[in-house]
Amino acid sequence: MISGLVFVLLFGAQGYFGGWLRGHDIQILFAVPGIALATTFVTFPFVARALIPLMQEQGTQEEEAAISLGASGLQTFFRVTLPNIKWGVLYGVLLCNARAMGEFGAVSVVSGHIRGETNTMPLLVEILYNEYQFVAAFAIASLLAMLALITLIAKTILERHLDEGHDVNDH
Amino acid sequence: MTIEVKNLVKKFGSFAALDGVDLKVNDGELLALLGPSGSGKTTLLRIIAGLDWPDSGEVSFNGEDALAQGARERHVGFVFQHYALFRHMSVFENVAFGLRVQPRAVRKDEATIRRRVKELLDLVQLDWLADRYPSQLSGGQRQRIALARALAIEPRILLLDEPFGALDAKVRKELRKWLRSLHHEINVTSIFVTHDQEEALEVANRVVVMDKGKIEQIGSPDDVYETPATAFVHGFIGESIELPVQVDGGVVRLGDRPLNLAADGLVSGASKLFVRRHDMLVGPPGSGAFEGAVQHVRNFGPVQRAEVALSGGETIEIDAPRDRDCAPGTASVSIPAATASLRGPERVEFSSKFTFQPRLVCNNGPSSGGPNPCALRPQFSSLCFSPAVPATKRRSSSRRCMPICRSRAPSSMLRPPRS
Repeated sequence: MISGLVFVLLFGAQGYFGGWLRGHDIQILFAVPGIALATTFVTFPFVARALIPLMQEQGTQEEEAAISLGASGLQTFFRVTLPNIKWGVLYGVLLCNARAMGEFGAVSVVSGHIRGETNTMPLLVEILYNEYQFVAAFAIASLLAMLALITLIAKTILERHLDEGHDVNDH
Repeated sequence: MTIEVKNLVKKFGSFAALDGVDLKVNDGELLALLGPSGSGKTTLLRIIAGLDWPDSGEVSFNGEDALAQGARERHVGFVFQHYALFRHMSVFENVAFGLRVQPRAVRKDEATIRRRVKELLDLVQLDWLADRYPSQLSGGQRQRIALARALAIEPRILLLDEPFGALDAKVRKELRKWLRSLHHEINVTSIFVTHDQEEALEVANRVVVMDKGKIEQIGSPDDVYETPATAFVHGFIGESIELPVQVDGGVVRLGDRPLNLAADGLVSGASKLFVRRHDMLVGPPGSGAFEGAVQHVRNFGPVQRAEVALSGGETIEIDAPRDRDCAPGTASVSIPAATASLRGPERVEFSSKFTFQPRLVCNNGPSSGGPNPCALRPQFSSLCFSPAVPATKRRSSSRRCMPICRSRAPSSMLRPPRS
């Protein structure tokens, strides 16, 4: 919610970048870019939290080995770093996705609730509920719950992969 | 390829990892950097490899400035303590990595790469593991693969950072021998870092002993063992007993007891006496330099280790061959043969040493009535002074040594009598 208000403060009509954005005819608030921005902002920490410990544990030795073998920075990243953290990245993306599906506060502030254009499932549940369409509201809510279950299963599978593949170069 | 390092300084915060290091590595040499942890040896190796950068100083390969190049351009093979194999690649792909990442213009075709990898795997005698993944290999196999991977790029220099540190004792010994013969075969200038003195003395052509970011001594394995240049080297290489003594007008005292050691010409003051454990011998009371009591005797391997409480209060441990008679009770300890050296006097910040050279002497046996060889016959070989200069400016070249008298007794007299 707070982050949503901050986005309004930055990109809103009276916001810091509001005038410039209007001058260039760019719509951020109450449009898809705003939702994407707000969601990214609240979900990024999940990717970081999945990746930072993993990368710290793996250390920089393999990258150093790659460089000393003559690999360039990009080659090192795509051939050594990325394959090593791929399960971590997928895990982060999954957590991210879970959070994005359920995100309400920030998105509620920046989206503007335009039906069919800037609505997300949690926002739709709220709208339908407020319009006394209980059946539709609960149907969407159940759909969300099922997506959560699928996410949970995927998470379990990914965690299993994360646990493997460690300890090759460990002490 | 010769490597020359000049006045290298590297600081981590206020801690000086390298504090003015000068080193020249000859072409085709196998050099060991030996020192305790924190002595800066790994930092030096990483700077040579281009994985770290010095605060000041020069590194040159064959006379050309290496610091102007990144790790990528230096063509240095680096072997890590914990292998650093690419865990998601098979052994074959690990070794091939260095060939596959070459710029397209010089990259070899697939058949050549395959042939080259095969050769390297044959060289490390692990061609049958090509399709395995690193996690399926033992520690010794992983390190050999890491070495093959480093050799794939035909490095100008091979650097090994504690290559056997993570392996168990038996594998380590095998790999040492193997590394030596491999170096003999490929003959590329190599530096390896170790804290294991046995490894350094056994494998290397030359040994560089480091402590606290400085080089203490550079020499052949024999040099650093037989004629340690500084108190640190004496204490670090070989198992030494260190006793605080007082030099007083040519008399060496431990506590208030004068020792049966000649020390004429030494600067008076507090000094340290260094003796190798196996160079001390236990004999009948009154026969040696120290008096004391043998408290325990433990046997292991080819030696027995006696714990002796000296009359001055210090407790020392002495190694003697198994066949020597050595039983708990009052006894006399002599520094028979041996290289014992005195360092000090500390208070005036002068370091003077003298060395007892010839393989002295002495034995043990319960007094046989014959001439008692346990009495100490010091043989000065050299006396070194190093003037008190602030530690930052000290260079090993400022240490001056002068020979004193060679030998006071023919060494033939100094053989232990056979019982």
